[in-house]
Amino acid sequence: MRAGGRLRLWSVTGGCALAVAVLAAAWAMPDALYPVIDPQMVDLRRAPLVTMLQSLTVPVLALVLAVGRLSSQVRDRRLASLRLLGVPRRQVATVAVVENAIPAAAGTGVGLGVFLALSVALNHGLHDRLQAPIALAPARLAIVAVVVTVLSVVLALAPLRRIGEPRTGHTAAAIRRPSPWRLVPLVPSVAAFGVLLALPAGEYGSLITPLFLTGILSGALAIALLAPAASFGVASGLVRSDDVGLVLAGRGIQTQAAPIGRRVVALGLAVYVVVGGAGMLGIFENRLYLKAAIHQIEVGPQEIFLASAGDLSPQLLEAVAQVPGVRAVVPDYDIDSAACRVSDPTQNCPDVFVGTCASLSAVMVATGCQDDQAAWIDSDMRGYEDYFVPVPRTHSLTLVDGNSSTHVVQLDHVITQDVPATVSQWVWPGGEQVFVPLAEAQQWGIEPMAADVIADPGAQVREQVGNVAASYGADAFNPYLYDYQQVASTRVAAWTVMTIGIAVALLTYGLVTIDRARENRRPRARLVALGVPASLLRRVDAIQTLLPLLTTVVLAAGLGIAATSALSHTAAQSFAIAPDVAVTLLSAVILGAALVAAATAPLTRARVRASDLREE
Amino acid sequence: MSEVVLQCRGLRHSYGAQEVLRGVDVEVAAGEVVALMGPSGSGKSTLLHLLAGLLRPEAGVVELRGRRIDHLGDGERSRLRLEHLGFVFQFGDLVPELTVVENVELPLRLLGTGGRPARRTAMEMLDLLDIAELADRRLHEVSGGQSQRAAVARALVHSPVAVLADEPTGALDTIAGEKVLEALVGAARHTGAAVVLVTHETTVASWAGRDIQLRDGVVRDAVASVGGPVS
Repeated sequence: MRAGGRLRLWSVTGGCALAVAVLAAAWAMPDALYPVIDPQMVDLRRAPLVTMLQSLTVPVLALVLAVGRLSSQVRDRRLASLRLLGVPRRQVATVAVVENAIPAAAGTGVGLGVFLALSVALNHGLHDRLQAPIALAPARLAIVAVVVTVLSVVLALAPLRRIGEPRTGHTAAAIRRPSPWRLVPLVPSVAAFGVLLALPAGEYGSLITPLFLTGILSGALAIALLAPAASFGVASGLVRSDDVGLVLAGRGIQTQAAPIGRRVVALGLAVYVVVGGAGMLGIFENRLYLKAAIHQIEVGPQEIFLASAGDLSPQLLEAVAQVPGVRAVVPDYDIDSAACRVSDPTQNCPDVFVGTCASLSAVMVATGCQDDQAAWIDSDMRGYEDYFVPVPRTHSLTLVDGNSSTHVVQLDHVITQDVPATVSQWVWPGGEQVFVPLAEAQQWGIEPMAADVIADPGAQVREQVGNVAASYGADAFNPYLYDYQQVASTRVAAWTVMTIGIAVALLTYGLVTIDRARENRRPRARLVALGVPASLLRRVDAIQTLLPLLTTVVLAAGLGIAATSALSHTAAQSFAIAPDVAVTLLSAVILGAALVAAATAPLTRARVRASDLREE
Repeated sequence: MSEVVLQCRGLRHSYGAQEVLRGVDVEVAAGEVVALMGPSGSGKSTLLHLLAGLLRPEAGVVELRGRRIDHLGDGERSRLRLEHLGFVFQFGDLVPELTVVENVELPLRLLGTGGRPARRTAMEMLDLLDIAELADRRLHEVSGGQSQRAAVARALVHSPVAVLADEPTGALDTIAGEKVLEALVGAARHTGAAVVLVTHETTVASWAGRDIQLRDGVVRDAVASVGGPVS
């Protein structure tokens, strides 16, 4: 347990504790937030949440892997020394296992305690937001604990592979070219995503799920295996340089490919998970009705629905129109095509808009409107066929009002909706198909039964309209608000999960960076003693930090983008990650890693101590 | 007497409450081979590190070629070390990522010598030390003695005024150790460099022209060596 010292001991304990707590919480949260009471009525938000929480497994297991191999140089040398002394292989294995098993078991216990304490606190603090208490069955808790502990112990046996080889103590200087077999997982990953992209968009079949699982899992494995290989490949270019710093940095990367790979692999996996998570969130938010809700609440204009038990008074409409932020008040009359009131209204039931050209312009962008002429509204609905049923044109249409009186309007005129312009304003195209001038409808003696208030975005205007409506005994609400709340809660969950993923990866990166700095202190002291300038050492450090980091991030982001593209294609959507989201996430990872590296730099730049120059 | 290339006066240094050096005066002349001797903990390595400007003394003066270096900043001391001193450590400590010849040419490259001239000079030095055939090997492909001779080559390749060697044979058997010392002293004589050898072995000290005995942080004795290959 002494090999690697307290850093290793605390890291294994802390890493296992964090892994158990996060994995247990990830397993418990979906049932607490969106429990499955009726399999036919599962909350839409559950599936993306479950997938994102499951994806947390990847960086968390990378953390367990990384802390298990901390101080590997000193530990491997120590175990090799035991073998050289004649200690049987089995006893060396026992030493290796016990070294990891004790802190891992202790960490697992701490993790279980943290999870239980956290669940009690959250159940108390968030009881109004949780649909069921956060809890995990003892059997599931046991599975989490056993998996983490066993994984940590199995990793402890890694050095045993090589301790029988001759000259183990000198092999740190060897350049071990990564095996071409490391490329193997990339093949099924790229192939699976390629097949998914080649299938017709929106196609669902029995092969889709296996293809996704193959692509995503082999992609994660490819990142883990290729991170050191990719860095090695790029470093091969550096060592051909004539610049001493580049050669030192390149050779360092080549000889330390495995530990450098362990340093960045968790970040690579976090990028992969986060890009995938952002893609899933994007696909979720790209559902048309959710997209419309986001646009209404965040961008505007928003539509506030006014209704009352009786007819709406003109005074109410006038008062609402005066509220700051209200752009228009469009009265809604109880009048339909007669065809809509038969048993099968799907064939000839156009949506009728009663109003003025000014009020029509508040709900859609259209040309050809005249306030004295009823008209068909012509809209090019390509791409929206699933939502709007075309209605055969007739020269006249029989309408029925709320009093069951019928009225015939002549429809010789045509208004043309500018669908792209309307969509840019409302996300949806306008669904109205018949325009009836208000002046003509007023002759029939009908009164508005409701109204659409078109207003600027924001809660303040909604609240003010609501207050005015209440003072007249009416109700006001934005029908998209519920959908937006779904989006908001999913965003919170997704960003929380992604933040945890990045934080776990940065923690892993920090621990491995500190460990490497300690292991490299002595060779570095020798270079300082030779008179190697500090600026050169800083440059070498920067290259050895940034090159593997950027190489791995590019590799992981590329595979994440491939996965997201395939997922978007299968969901019949365009690529679903907004550029600002991608930039934010990647910047968080790269800047976070740079900050962690900078924070640990003093460990390597400290002045040379006499002991650094003397200790072996 | 030849020019004094390295000297210290009234040098004092402590690690915490433990005073390791208590007013040490040493002079090393150009081309001279000096052995710093004494039991473990007597302050030999600390004195070597102070002479090299790796540590700052608490009191006293260190001069390299007549220029005081103990009050200089890290950067300047590094530069002076690179230009005027060579190092041989107990375990060789070649940069493991580089080949033997790349290690040897490293000081030249850091001093701004171009790639080809540096490689040529490094090969000449390897040839002088009879290890030219190891030029393209890496650390894990050479023996401890060969690695140490490569370290000697690296210490002398840029013609320093002095080579500081801290237990250079401490990790080697007697025969390999003899070969390394022969290479070190012979090559230093060839380049005109002074050598300061830290050792507690009298066989090693016998290669020196003068012994400086350290005990309890002070110089007890400084005598010309009798017998031995150099004297």
